[in-house]
Amino acid sequence: MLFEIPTGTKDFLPFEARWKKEIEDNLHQILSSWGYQQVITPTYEYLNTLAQGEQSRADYFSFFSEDGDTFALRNDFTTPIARLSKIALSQEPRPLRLYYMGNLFRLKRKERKREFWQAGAELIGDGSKVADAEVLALAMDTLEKIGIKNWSLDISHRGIVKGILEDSKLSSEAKKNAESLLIKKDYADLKKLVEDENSGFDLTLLPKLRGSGDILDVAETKLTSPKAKLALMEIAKTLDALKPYNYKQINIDLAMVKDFSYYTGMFFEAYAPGVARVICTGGRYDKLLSNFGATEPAVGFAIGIDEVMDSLVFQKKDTASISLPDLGILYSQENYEEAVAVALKKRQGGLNVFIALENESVPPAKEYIKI
Amino acid sequence: MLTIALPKGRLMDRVLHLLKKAEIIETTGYAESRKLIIEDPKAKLRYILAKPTDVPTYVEHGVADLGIVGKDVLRESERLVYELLDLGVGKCRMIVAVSQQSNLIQIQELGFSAKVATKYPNITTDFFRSHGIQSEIIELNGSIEIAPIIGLADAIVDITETGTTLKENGLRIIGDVCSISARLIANHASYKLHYKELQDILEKLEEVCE
Repeated sequence: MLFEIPTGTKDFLPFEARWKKEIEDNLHQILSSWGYQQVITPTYEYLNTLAQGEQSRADYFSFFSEDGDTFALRNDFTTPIARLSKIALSQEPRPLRLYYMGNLFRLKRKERKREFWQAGAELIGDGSKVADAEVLALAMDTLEKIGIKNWSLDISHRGIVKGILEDSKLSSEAKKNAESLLIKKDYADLKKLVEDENSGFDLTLLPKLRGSGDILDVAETKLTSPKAKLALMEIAKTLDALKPYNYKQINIDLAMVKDFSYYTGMFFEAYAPGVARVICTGGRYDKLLSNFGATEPAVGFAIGIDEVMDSLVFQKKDTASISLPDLGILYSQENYEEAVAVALKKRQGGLNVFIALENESVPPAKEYIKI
Repeated sequence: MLTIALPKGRLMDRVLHLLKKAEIIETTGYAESRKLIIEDPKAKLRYILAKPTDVPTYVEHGVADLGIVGKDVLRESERLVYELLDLGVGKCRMIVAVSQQSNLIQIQELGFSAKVATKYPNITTDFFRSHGIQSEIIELNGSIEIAPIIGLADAIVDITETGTTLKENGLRIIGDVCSISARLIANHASYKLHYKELQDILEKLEEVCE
């Protein structure tokens, strides 16, 4: 009988596990260095709690409690952290700076991991552009310090597409279609939809509105929707607050849409060479916390640890290397006690040590001593 | 270097002519090549000649940055890719057809649990569901036209350019699913990471597709 592991799961063998831990240690260091404190939430929660998050992520491993309640494995960290900030940490002074690291589970992930690893940070109780800039800068600092080269990060604002749709005369069905066409960047069908409905012409301008900061000026002259123009000003203010951090690699992509997300303001996405999907994403979500108590603004980001590993492998940098134990102590039957004592001493001295009976098969080590 | 996945078969010639017209390639000779990967170092481009159904897979997984594929294959694949441009070639319709002998006039008459043969089970399921018709899908890989004749299905969903093949096989169209043409698709990450090179190709193609 062959014991397989389920599709979408993975074993981390010693060399990978060690490398993953190094990356995670690094992430702990980076996130702590910005004054964020780690929280650990349960691996499973009431489904009803998780369901307060993104509707598009209605994708859970779920099961029943002994009382018939539905539990689900966490499929996102932001929602559990929103819960704990409004309940366990409701009396803590604001803003809260929290970070997390761990595994998430989603069932409907074709050809992708169903158990995957993420780290991220949430800045809760600060609605300012300075907070937006801090989280953006923290995301970029994380990409840099973790060793990703040539990443690309794009910013937009929920109010761009939402504002254009609200200011247009498109039917509610056409609005929904327009949004899903933007998600696919299906500009051919988008143009047709706008022409058929004879409204929402701003939408067809969005595809060309991608580039560095000066795209905002171009957009200001071209877009007619007043609500979208307000969102442009918001992006400009966030970029202003970001200036002292001195990042040059930032782009603006006004055609960007997040699938039914909880984001209410600025949001961003980053990509890295060697990874076919987003590596890091985040944004402002000022309504999510009101599901658990009084309204409170919040902004955060997450980075995929599996994606970081993929990109580093692609760059062929610091990838998995085997680290052998420092010392193997070989002993004969009658010297067993002495071998144990020597090993204890060597471990106190900071070495990684094992003992092995001489003549039997001996595992690899950097060095051996015989007793 | 950008990698572009091209579809072998029905679309190949038309796609190559379009690429030549856009001055992206110098020759349309790739069609005769037995090679599966063709490099064009001067243009910093590499082509993968793929089975059409594999083009969206290559692009979603990022082994090709761009791809060209028919909307029929693209919609059926349900892959997460960007659809940047309608190339306007390989135009045809996806239709519902029944046997000439059948007295059905419109799809609504197909009634409860109609048997439908098709190469496009996902599109067909969506289409009938959105029209409130329960259908039982029979997936075939070729010669769809014979399914109603030999009594395998009540109707078929397939693509047709002129309708001639359908007529010759004793079939009659009773409904339209969607119109089809070749699309330029892009990988999500490539779109951002190689934006300039990608826009360059996009603009050249836009010019010849007007």
